Amino acid sequence: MINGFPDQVDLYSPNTAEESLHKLLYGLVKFINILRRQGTRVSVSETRDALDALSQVDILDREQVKVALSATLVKNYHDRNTFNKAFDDFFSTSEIKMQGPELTGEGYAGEGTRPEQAGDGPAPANKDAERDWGKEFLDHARQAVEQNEKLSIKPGWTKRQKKQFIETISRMRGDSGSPGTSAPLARKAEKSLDLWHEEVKKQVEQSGVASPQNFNSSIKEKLSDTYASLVSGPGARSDDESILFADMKKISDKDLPRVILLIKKLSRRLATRISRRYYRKRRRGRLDIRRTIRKNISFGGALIDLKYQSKKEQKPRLVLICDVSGSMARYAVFVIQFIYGLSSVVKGIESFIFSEDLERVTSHFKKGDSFVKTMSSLVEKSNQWGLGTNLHASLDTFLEKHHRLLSPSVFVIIVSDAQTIQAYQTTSDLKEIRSRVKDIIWLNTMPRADWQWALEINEFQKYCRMFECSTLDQLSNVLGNQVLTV
Amino acid sequence: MKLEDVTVDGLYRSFEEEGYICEKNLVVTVFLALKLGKPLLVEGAPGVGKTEIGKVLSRVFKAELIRLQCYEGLDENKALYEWNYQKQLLKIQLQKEGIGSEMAERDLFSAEYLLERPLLKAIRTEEPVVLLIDEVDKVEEEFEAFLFELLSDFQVSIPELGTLTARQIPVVVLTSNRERDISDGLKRRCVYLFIDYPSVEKEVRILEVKAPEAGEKLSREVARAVNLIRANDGIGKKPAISESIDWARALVALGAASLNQESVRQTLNIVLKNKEDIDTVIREVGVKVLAAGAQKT
Repeated sequence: MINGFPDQVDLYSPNTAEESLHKLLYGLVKFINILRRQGTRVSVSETRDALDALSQVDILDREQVKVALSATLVKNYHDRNTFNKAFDDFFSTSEIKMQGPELTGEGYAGEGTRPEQAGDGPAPANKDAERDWGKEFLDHARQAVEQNEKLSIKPGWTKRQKKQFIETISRMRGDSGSPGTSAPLARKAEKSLDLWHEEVKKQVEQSGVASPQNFNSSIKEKLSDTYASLVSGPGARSDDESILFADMKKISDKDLPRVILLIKKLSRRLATRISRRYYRKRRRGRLDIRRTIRKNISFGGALIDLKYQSKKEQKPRLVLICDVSGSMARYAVFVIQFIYGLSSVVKGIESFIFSEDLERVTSHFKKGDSFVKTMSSLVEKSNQWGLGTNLHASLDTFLEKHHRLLSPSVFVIIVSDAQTIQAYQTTSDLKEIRSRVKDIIWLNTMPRADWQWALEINEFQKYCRMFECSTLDQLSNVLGNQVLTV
Repeated sequence: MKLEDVTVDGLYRSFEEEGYICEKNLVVTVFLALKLGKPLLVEGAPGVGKTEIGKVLSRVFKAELIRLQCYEGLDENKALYEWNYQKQLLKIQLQKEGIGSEMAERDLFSAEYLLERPLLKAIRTEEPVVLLIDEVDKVEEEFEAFLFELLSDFQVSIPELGTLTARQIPVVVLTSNRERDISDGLKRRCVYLFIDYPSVEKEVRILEVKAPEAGEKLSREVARAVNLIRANDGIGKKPAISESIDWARALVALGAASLNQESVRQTLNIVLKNKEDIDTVIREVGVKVLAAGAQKT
């Protein structure tokens, strides 16, 4: 948020330059809030960059405005679709809806943009009118600046903020760009806000909220809801991204081919990363006397360039213990597939499934069959799919029959919702395993918010690092950040 | 073109003149990075023209291109500066022999003994330069953090010399293949551009510029076929633009007037570089479909 920026602006009286300029900023900040609500991280400095960028482009060109905001606010591939949807909603849809005669009053005279033209910038015939409108608007702004340098500057703004604000206004009024640059954007933002304000006002009135204070707080909530609904509809994310962020349990069968490809892509990306990390060159280990002397002979024996032993980085070894009980079977398919995708670079992944007891399934993956065939033979031959959960019995079996797999370079990955009987005994098993491996990573499909109600989870967490993992994105991140980068 | 005179249209024309065919939106983003004095972070799949932006900018502004190729293990010594140990030692030896002039210890750590690496060179040079930091996703996070100071304030701290400030603000282009996510801190300091694979129309234009001998018809067929191949998510490495160009040139070299089943079979290895991908395309798209799709009007 920009310091000193008002919480609420009276949207119904855009009479002064100060208010109009506020609305431009307010509209931008509101737009950024929409992005933030959708998970796009936008910092204050990026907000300032966006303002600066707007002052550098032709604001009558909608595409340029979009590119300017996109380049400065959205810096993640996955956020691009969210941005596009939010932008189109914020700067277009409302405008289309605004074409009603009741809102075409003073200040908007001479518009008449046809709905099909909205969103593509003003119609050519209206460009002059818009520029006139903009010129008038900016003349007011210039007069205000000249008369009073305190234009829109709130007590508490730093000298730099004031300077930056005035410079921005100066650029916007056309000192270094085309004349009348900022007005249409300000107006578009204004119109969008006006529309929402109107809609929300109606809703609030219908719900019987009367006092101004209540109205203001309600309006904030309602606006937020409206923004959220604007960008949460279909199309906010691409198909791949929908799958990436969807709860794995809810992925439908028809999406499975795409999921398989996506998992392949994600696991390949992680695999590329790990395959490159052979040496940690920058970590200094012990001095390598032999190489140091050899290197420094040319300096007359003075030890100037020291050489250190470089430690060969061990690729992690993974032991996967995956819950395939009734509640977990769906997740298990995806997790096993992901691990399977990594097997090209992470040597000797040992895979186990469990519900009431443990079964080793590594051999199924070594046949070289396609994943689909492997999984179907695995499900067919296993006795564990879809039963109840007893992690204690399963870990006991593991410790009894497969304890040789445990070593200080091994990561044990447990995938389970932690809903098991004999939780107390399970904690002891975890403690035993933890003492013999590098780490235990627990991928919990239960939402993190619910962990507080499951007391056994607190106990388990003493001996493992637990991560919420119900989507492919979470799965990819946990494996990438917690396992493959150590 | 001078940096202060740059306009969107002027830049667009210059990019075209330099043979870089792109949409205007891309140019607007580059323009904004130049005008805001911020580094341009370009992300996209390999071979879509990220690095080329840096090269084109250096030609457009007639500025020296300083390139820092990133890799795992890159550190300040290789990217920023190093002391010239040999020269320092030689000076000490000469001093011992009584040959050299009197000097103080601080003289050993003066600019005379400093070896400038690409980053330092970029900010210390008097003339305008374009600094291309290529494949920044390959460096470790510690190095990224080190880049913060340079890219936000255009200054670097050298313990023995103090803070060195840029003599001019270089045009900085960072590229990333998105093998890992770049930190928020670095992204925040940059203007962001994502480049996708080109549309058929755009690729035809690129081919016409880069491989004019192929002619409009063959270029269009190649562009369509490559587009079909890229649409297949099952392949590991999607063809880059340079591979489309190579494909068109290969077809010309073979005297193929159009992309038919036979010429596809003969030359598919030019555009796909591993057997698994070739098998996937033949199995899932099919040579027949590829040839027919290419010739679709």
